[in-house]
Amino acid sequence: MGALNQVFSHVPESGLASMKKPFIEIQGLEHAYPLADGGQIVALRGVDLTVERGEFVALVGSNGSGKSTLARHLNGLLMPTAGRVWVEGLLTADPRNLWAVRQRVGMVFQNPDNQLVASTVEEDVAFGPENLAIPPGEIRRRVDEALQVVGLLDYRTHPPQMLSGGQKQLVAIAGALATRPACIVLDEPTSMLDPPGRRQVIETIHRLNTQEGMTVVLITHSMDEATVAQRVLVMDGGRVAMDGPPEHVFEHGERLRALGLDRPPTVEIAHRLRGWGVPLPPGLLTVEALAGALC
Amino acid sequence: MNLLLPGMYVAADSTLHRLDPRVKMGAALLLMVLPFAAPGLASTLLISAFVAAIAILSAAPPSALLRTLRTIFWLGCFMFAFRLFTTPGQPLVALGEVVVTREGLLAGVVQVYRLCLLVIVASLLSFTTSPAQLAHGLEALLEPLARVGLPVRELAMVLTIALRFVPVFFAEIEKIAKAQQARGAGLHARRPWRRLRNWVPVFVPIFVTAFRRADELATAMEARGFRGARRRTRLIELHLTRHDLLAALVVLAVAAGTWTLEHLM
Amino acid sequence: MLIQVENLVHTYAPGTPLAHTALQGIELKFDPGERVGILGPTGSGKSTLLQHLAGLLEPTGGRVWLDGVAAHERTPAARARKRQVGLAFQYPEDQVFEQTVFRDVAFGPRNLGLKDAEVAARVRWALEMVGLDPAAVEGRVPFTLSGGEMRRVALAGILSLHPEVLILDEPTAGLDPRGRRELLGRVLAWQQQTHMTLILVSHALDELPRLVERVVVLNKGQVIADGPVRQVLSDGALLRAAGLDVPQPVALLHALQKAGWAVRTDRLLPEEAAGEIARVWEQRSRGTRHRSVSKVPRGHREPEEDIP
Repeated sequence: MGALNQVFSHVPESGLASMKKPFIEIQGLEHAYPLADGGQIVALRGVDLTVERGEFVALVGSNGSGKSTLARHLNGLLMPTAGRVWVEGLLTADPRNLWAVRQRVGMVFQNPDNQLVASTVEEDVAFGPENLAIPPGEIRRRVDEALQVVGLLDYRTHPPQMLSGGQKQLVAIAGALATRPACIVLDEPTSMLDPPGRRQVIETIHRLNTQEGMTVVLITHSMDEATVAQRVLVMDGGRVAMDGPPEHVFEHGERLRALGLDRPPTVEIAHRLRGWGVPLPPGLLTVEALAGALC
Repeated sequence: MNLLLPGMYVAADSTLHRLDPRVKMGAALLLMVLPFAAPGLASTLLISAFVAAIAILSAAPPSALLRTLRTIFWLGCFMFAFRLFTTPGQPLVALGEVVVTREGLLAGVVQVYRLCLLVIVASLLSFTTSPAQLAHGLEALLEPLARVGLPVRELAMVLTIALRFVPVFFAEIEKIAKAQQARGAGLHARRPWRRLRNWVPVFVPIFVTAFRRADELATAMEARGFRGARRRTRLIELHLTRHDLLAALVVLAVAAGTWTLEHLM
Repeated sequence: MLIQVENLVHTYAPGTPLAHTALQGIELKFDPGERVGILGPTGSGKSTLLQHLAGLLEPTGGRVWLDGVAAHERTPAARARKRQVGLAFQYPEDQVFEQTVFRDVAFGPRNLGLKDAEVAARVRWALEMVGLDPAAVEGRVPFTLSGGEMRRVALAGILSLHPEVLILDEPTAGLDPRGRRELLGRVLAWQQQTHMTLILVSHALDELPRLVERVVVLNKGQVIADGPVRQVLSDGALLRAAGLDVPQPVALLHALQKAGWAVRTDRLLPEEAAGEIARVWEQRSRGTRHRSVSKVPRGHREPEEDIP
């Protein structure tokens, strides 16, 4: 992962210099959607944010908080109405950088079906590299590699309709991986899946982060899923309302509820127990951790 | 509900399956036209033998092949009747003005037979070539036109995406139909006009979600770096092998054979 | 309405190589006014069962009886019973099709052959039940509404049938926590107002205890559990064997039980589980003469009924 891409020559900095800067840098980002009647909906009201290489960030918030809009600025699908977004030093608003940005930041969307274009798994995963005009031999290597990483190599020639929702999302992830991005953004990838599918997807992206060093931005409204991340950003009304490790963010139960979010039941239980005087260390996010602390 | 387009592709590893789709499409076209272009008995026998040989090589069960003939039942009847009643010759039976002749009977049977051959050849193509392969083959064949400026690649992409979504649409139609039925929509009405009207509550939502799908899909494609069908390489490239050239030669030989038989008899 | 499912078998594509038996002899009974949850992994036959309950499918074997009438028949009696069953599929907003909200919600009542005045009254009632203002929304084009609003319109379109039985397939699919809470609150309110039978298919285990009294678990076309919600959802082994999630409170209580704690494992909601753990923790710490700074409220309520 992270091989230098010779196809693009617009990279302003390379090598050591870009390694020290944050991978994603956002300053004063605002975004307003124009309405048919001339008015507008303001989705982002000034976001300042940096994401370092290799971070796993969960972006949470209720519907309308701006999280999906923010996600689409990370790969240039949307342009800022005000403010600036840099990906690995490339300004997303500069049209010359667009394809370079999209090669660095892969994206997976919510609806498993509406991302797959081809009649077989391998041809769909090949879509990204094909767009980069990569030679067929190399495409084959990348497709097999990506399918291996998500564990679907045996399903190479399957048509999409034979796959479960979770498997389709894994194909979408493989498709994003095939362009060798440094970062992958997932916009509510599990909200249309059943529990086994959700587990498959979350485990895979967790593995991508811990084993392959991929920078991951997971947009979700499930705090249960956010537990897996190192850092949780809570969005509200187009702004970042909270930013910190999951255990810190979960402290503020009242605030989260007011923002339309839940805490995982385990965290809820731990919190109540502490309130009743049961001595428990902070940061207990899973059943195992809490049970272990109690015994 | 069958999962693929006209529902006839069966994944297998027969000789025919391994051939290049361009060769198969060209051969199919030739073999469909040949019985009509070379109507003599000897020619027809040669073509029939060749089609039978291909059918064996395709590993398609004969019963399945014959079942596909059901689709042309009414057309076949019509053609038979047409020939039966309009061919001049030695009369057999007279029904008032209309005369059935012996030649008519024979001509009717032969015509229907040719039609059946046509359908079987088409079925063999469908059985052994997936819709995606057909799309690949078509794109490759029409490639030269792209250099003249025709949007061949774009159309091929449209075709591939459409094929990919056919099963999705079928599933959705089923779901919406059930949902509207649960609200009392009379989808099993007898009268055709009424039935058409009653299906509006199914088709309108399908159309609306189709547009939304297209929008989401376009966004996903953009996110994956798609900027037009030019300058794209492909994972799967079609290469003609020795087997393909051999197959092509055999087909051409059969065609030449029938032409010879036709003009020497 | 009393629903009886008698040895129900359903096979898709019988006699072909693609034959699949989705239901293998289901025996169930739903009393009028009951609130039942149905759980099961994908492929367990849930949606097939729901469609049978609404009379949309013909059984391969067995029968579904709606108030003693076989559901799949095409007799007027059967049709009349079927109309009393309202079924909402997943993502019901997908089925909205009319030019105005009013007409879409009126679709069901009109198909029942009701008079205009009655139809209008029902539409208004149904829209209010889903939390929409009839005056504001009746004339609008449904496709200009937000996703959440469209879902409400679709549900109103089923409520307007005044069904005696309401079947909801994953009604909160795709909604954020706030949306989920709100919708389920409404569903409960509908049931309490109309006393209809409520059959709810849901993966959301934290929702079920608040809504239903009884849970049926399906797996591979068979009923593997049917009992009070507390009993079924605290059976970790059963849920896991069916490939289902175990509610976190239950998993925690089981883990503590295994470590020797004398906790009850049927405390499904976080607040109940916390209370139970605190109670036992206090006992244990008193037992080891450890001075507890416990603020556990004495004699805190042990919930025996559902949490409203």
